Amino acid sequence: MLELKNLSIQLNKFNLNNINISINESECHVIVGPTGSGKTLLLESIIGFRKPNYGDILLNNQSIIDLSVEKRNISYVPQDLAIFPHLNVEDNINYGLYINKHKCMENNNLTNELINSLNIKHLLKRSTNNLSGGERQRVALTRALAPGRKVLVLDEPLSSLHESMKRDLWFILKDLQKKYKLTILMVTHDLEEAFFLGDTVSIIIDGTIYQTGNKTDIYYHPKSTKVARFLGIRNIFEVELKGINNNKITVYNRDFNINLNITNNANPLNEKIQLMAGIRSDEIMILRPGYEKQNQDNLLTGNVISVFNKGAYHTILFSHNDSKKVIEIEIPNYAFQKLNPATGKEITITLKAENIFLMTQ
Amino acid sequence: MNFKKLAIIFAFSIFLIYTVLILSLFYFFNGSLFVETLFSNRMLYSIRLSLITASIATFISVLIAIPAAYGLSRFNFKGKKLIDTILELPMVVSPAALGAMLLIFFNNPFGNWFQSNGIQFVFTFYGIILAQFITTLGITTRLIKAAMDEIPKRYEDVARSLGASFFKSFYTITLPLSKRGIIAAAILTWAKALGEFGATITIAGSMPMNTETIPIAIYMKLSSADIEGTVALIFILIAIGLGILYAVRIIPGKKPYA
Repeated sequence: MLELKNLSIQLNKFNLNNINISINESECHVIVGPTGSGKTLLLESIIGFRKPNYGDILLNNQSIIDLSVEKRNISYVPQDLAIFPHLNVEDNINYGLYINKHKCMENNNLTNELINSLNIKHLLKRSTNNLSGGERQRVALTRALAPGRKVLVLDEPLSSLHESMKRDLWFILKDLQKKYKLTILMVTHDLEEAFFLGDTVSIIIDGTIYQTGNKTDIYYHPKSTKVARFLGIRNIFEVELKGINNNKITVYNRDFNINLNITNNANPLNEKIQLMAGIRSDEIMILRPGYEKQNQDNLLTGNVISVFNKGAYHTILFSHNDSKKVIEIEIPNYAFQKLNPATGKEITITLKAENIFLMTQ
Repeated sequence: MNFKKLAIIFAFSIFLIYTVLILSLFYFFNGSLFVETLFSNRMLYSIRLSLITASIATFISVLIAIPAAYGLSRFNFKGKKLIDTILELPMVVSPAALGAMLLIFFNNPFGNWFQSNGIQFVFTFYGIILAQFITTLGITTRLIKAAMDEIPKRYEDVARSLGASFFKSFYTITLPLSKRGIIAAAILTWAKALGEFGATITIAGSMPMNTETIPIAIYMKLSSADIEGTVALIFILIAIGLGILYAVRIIPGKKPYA
């Protein structure tokens, strides 16, 4: 449905390099990246505010690169929502219909449906100056969808909301996407939001898309340390390939002086490049004393260096014997209370073979 | 004495300077002469002439300044900085010099041809309008541009994504949002045009019952040593000018956008 082909955009000294993304009909694609990575610049090119230096943008297999903004049929909700302050809620919603000379709102089923779906009927006559953050989001979404557009571009529209309201809108967005078969392209820096809303996800860092595809693949198989670090993975080690036996890969880690078994690799292996292994903090298990022999996968024994209470979780920093490399472990409170891994205590952990992934540097 | 008090004292000192000047007029104020001057045919003509020419000059200035200010506020193009600088020309060049420039222009072959085949400006009603227009256009554009600069471009972006063309997004979003700024700019332009003297007398002269605006009438009264008449005219000009400027303070009110 929406396809970006070899898109390159230069703005002063910043470059967006060779962006290739394909979004299917009724799919939500989330571009996630840190602040200043070029997310908004990319959206502005798709909507038509900026002409790319190179590449093409296809909508339903038709190039829209030379079309002006108003002819692209892409609705847009910016970060600040840009609710028109001189119009009331009803006139804001009707703006697209008025401009496109559609029927008035009373006769427009879609608009009425949206108003009911987003529960804003009671706001219609209100001035936009008196709306709460959540109400503003709902009005902005209704306004964007009222002209009957099927492609919706969202530029971090939920970033200013508090957690509870943000989560309400996640569900609303998901419902709207399903109900109206919307194709959504969204940018955000919030990983949780990206993985909740996105069917497919792209990771953008410093103007380059480092990985794009199914969100589960990206979550479990980051291709590079750059992506892994951005996804918040703290346990990343240099490893050397030792052998491949059926699905089981053995790598050697110098920091801990052990061979690690891995059964979860999705990335191509190449002996010439420096391989890296990673494991999420919440996928490392602390074994109860006496249970070590029952679990043969990648056992490490060492000491707890420090413990941090994060509310629902505890973060534990662990050092394997004399290694300077620290492993970060995250365990839920109930597990923490059972195991009581206090500072200085000796514990044994397991890095399960199916939880370790390999990637390039 | 703290800085806050000092700053307030400075603000009051400005008020004091102008108030002393206004109050000093009362030394020569003559009530019956004021009424006589105000209702004399020559004075009524000057008031009418000033109001009409200032209104027409303001209308033309605002009409040109709105699209120009929008262009300068929203787009980047070659020569933008040059245009932005030249807007200040009426402020850095004295009005008399601007009037002289107009006179010189109408004495070159193109200006001559224009006067012969188009409108006669020198020593006419149209000359007054032209002088007021030339001295106000830059400031009008600058004021309207400032009002438009305050409106986030994002509103237009969203309007365009909803199907509005450049013009429609300007007409339905930017123009209504900058309405208060445009009205305030128009009022200030009108007040400046009303008080314009240097360029007007240079190009239109000072013919009573023909090209004599209120500021020119004040000059003529003063040059004939008619102090009481001068005071009466100054009061009329102050009443009209300050009344209008006070309206500017009331109109802007609360900005509708955050």
